[in-house]
Amino acid sequence: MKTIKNSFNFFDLIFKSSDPKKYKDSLTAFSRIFSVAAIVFAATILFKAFNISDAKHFQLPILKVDILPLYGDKFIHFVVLVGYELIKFFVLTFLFWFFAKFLKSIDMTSPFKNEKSVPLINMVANLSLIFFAVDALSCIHIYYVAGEMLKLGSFRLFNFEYLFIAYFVNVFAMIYKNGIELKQDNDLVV
Amino acid sequence: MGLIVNLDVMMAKRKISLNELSAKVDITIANLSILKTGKAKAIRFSTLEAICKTLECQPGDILEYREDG
Repeated sequence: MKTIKNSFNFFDLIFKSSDPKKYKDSLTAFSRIFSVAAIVFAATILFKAFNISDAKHFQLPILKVDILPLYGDKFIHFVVLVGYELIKFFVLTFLFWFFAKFLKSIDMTSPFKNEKSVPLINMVANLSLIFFAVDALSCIHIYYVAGEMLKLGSFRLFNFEYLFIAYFVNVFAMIYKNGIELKQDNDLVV
Repeated sequence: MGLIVNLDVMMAKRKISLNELSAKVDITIANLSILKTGKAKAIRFSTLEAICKTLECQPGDILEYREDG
């Protein structure tokens, strides 16, 4: 209950100035909830995927959108489509989960104090490198679904937003590690 | 070897303890200890000035440079 309540505070705190500790708790809670929701969603899609041969429709949970038209008559289209979305979900899930652990490990009044936060942010940065592969996969994904997307009145050329996430996370990790080093040096200035 | 801090030598010459020096220069015992043991990364001029004033010495009495090797 506290996690859910803290996550709702997150949206409230974005638009108002706030106590850094409350902001951190809310962001951590939001990250955890997203991770769990992503796992549940991905598990549902996986479960439906295994039962696809018996199903006339393949409806996404909650959204009730039938994605079977994208399946066409080629099973490989379906594998690429579902596989790409699942990989994206799992990578984002792990990224959010470890980012939540990193946020929990830092003290917002003195964020560069705890050296034990460095391995966690390193893990987040290394995980984000997987997004380079995700964006490469997206090119294959777009190739398979482009025809069906045009029939549905939609079109997309490329997905480079995950590349941007990877760059941003790596830059953040680099800045944070430099911050830790500077703090340690500063502590030894008399 | 680099820079050597001879604060303990000067403190012994002036017969002043770490607690007394800390109170007179308004620097914490922890920071003075960091300086004395040579673990400090840097020293502010204001700190050096306060120490030299209290111990009635020159900066060269506190800091010494020795070649490596």
